[in-house]
Amino acid sequence: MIEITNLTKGFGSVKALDNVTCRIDSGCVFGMVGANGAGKSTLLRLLAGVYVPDDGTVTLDGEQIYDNPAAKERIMFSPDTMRLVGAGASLRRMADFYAASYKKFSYEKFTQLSKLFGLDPKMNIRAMSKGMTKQSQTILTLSCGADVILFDETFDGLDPVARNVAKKLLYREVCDNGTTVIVTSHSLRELEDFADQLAMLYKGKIVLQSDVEGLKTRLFKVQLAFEQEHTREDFTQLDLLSFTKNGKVINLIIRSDREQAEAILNGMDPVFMEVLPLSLEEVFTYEMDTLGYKFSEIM
Amino acid sequence: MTETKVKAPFISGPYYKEIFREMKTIGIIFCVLQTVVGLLENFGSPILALFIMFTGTGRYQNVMLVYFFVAALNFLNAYIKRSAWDLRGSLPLKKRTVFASHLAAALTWAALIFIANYVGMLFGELLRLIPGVNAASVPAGYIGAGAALLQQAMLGLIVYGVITMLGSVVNKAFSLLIAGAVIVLVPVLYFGFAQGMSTSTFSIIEHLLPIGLKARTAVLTVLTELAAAAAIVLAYIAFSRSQAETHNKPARTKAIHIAIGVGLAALVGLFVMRSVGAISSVSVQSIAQGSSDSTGTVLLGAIIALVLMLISYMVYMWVSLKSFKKACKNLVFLPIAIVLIASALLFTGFADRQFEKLDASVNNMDHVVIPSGEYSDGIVDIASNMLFGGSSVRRGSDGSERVKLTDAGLLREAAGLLSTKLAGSEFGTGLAMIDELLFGAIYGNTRNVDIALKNGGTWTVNISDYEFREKLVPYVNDNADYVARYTDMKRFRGGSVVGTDGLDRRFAKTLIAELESLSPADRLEVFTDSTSYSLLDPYVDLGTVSDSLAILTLASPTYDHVTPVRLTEKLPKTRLMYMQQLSENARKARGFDEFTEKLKAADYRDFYGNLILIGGGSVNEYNFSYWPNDRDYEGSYLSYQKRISAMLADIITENRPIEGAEYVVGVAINDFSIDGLKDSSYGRSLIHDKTVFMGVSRETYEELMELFAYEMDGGDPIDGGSEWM
Repeated sequence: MIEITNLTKGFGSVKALDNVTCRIDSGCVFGMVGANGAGKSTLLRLLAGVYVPDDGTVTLDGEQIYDNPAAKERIMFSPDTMRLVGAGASLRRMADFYAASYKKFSYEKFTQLSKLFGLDPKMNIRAMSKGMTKQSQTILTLSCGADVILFDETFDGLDPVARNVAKKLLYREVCDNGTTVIVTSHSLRELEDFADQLAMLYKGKIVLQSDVEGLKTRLFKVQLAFEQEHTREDFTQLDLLSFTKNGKVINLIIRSDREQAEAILNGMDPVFMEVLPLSLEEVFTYEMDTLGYKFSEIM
Repeated sequence: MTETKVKAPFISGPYYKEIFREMKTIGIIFCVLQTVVGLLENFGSPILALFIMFTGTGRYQNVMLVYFFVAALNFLNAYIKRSAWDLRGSLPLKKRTVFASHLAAALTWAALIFIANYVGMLFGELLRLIPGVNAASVPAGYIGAGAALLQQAMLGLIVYGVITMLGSVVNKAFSLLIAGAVIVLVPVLYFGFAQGMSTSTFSIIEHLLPIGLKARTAVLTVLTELAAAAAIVLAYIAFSRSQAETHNKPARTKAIHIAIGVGLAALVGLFVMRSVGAISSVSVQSIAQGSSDSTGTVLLGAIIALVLMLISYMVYMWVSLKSFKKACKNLVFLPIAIVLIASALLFTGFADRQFEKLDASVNNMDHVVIPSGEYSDGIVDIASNMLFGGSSVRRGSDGSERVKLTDAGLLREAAGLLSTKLAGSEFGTGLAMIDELLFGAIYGNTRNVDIALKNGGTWTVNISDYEFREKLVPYVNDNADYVARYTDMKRFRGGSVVGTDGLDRRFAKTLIAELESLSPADRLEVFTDSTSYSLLDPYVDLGTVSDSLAILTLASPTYDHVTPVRLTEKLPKTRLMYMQQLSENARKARGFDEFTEKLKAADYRDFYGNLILIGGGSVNEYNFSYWPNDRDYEGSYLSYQKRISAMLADIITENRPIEGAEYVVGVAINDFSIDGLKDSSYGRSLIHDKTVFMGVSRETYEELMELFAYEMDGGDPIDGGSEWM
């Protein structure tokens, strides 16, 4: 389990992370979203032990991570841009590099994954396309046998097929080995069907954190129409996040137990009612609104 | 944040291997370079001679130093850049393990470069066995080369330590450059300024360590090693505490940032003050004596220095902090630079006071030591050999330099030399100093003499080779202990004679056996460097070598000890072998028979050579040049040349054995060309530079002596042509 407690990190006058507290359970996919400069990459570097916290702590199963080989041995960091050991480094050369430091590095897995992605391990990585480079990085990351995998914008640049393969592989890691995957993205849609937990960062703070399923089931949209006129005040029994009316058709965004809400609304005798699921982006938009943030400014 | 105490290995084996692999390209390049250097140490090379002339350094083992510089840059590239740290910083290694593993890998490559030097040297030695390969120079001593490489490695470690330390505490490239300049130049200018303001003719270093050349060199070597260790330890600590994320600040801490700014200001101030002092010859003494000129100059210099210091400090602070207001706030630290500059004068005061106490009277002379220069450093020999055709000549041995010479006459001369030094040595000033710096090492025309004083200190005086031989050598050579140690043969046992075509170990054995059979005094006579001046100084005509056939270079098995040996009549067996071998080489040369025929018929265009006449206990050598078919000259003279040609041809053809001969004639062929075919049919690889010796009758010997002595004495064969007809 990763515990982040009152974590603060600044660069000069800029506070990249401001008193962040968060807990990430083992064996889950934890997604972090936020705009550029929100603090996602800084948080990942702190989790990877690349940066030292200015204040607060980051621990993995109770152990500090920074300058602690035992903890870092269990973490593999995959930065947004792949770094090489030399200009002409091949995938195989990079595998050797990681194998020199990660005791659990598996060449067998490396070979399997290279075949799966159709990559030649001897190929110069500089000569690869952006997508192939990302695939290479995914192969190396998964071959290290780490308990915690940190991905910074990993899916950016992958084609849909490769993206799905990568996601499936990560799922397998989580399911088979109890690996914790922490992944950042600019796009909520990217993480919608992938992450178990989601956190939204804004100006160095986690402004929202929740499990995805909960978010999506707790918030839903209802489209309905009545013969008589209704106003917002008629729905006070429900936790309404939004009320819009277009002629006779009313659109409600409700945070509530779905069955309970349907029962209340059916009791009002609508001539038409349909419960629609919300996309994760819509869920975030409404949640952020309630927190007083303008979602469009954050993302 | 409280840090968790974690046990971690000092060096990670797998990571060490990884870094060793990453440094493969750099390592191999430097191994190849060092192999070439090792190889070239066996041969004369104009490039190396020029290198030594223009760098003014006595050695060219700097490949090792450059390697460490590149290794340090490799380190910076791998760890200091923020982007690179994403890759390395997340690895499960402690920073100190990363540093130690990288250093270990760098040192492993340094060890391989060290070995590569010996591979080159050994390969060069094999090449030297090929007849005809130019190997006239003395190769670098195996132990000496190793010591030089280790010394360069020590300097390299200082460079490595300083660069990696600066890279760990200074983040911006701009600040890194300034910090590098401060660290390298401030000590140089600091002592340069202190030296410049002093009236002493000795260096500040010598005032700090007045213990004689050898001891001072040893102390400075130890200090270099300590400095290397300190630089590495500091770099280790700095890197262990470095943070990848401080990239947006000019330096890791404010104190380091201020130190860089102050260092820059001090650098500028020292440069200005040093220049003012050098241009106007201002000294602390002249200021103290109230010289208005000096005071005015110093005041003007100080004002200029202060203004430039202020500007440089403010510009650095402004650029690095990107705020003029913050830069102004840091102005309070600028006086530290002024204090630093002023503190250099403490050294000046110390040196001046010590200098004033120096008493050069004869009564104050305790003893004299002649530091040995016998260790072969290769390049000096290569340079001198290439440029001036001579071998570097050394005096002394490990043993002889420990002899404290106390002869009254010698001490008198020493007092005179020290007085001259105190009054201002000619080698210490102006153009003489530049000349000495550029050419001293090559000509080998200056020597150091350590003079120990009764009232304290051993002071090193640099004197000309001529002064040394004229004033000191006669006394030195009278000291039996010195001579015995100087001519001690132990170090040469199993050694070789360097660069003499075709002469094998058997020859060296004969020479060593003959030398061992001589008394120390006789050995000194053949060991002596009395011919070195004419051989090494390019302005002196090489002339004739009056009583020796040749000067050979005898070297110890590892080439670390070398001595010139004159092949005089005291070494008859060796001399005979030498002449026989040279003759054999000449007669085996392709074109030799044709040469003899052409010589007999005087059917050639030019013949430049030397005639060596050995007999009656002396050796005479004459240069000659003949052109018997040049119609621009009078017939009588051309007839004379034809007669000489035929005579020499007859002697060569007759080829009387030299063993047992009372009189011997040698003909050295420098250049022999046939009309229209200059340097083609008899190219340099054939008979040029070959010498052939033959026994001759007394009559022939005397006739030749008469003919050549007449010619050499200025007799004009044209005017006196009838005599030859």
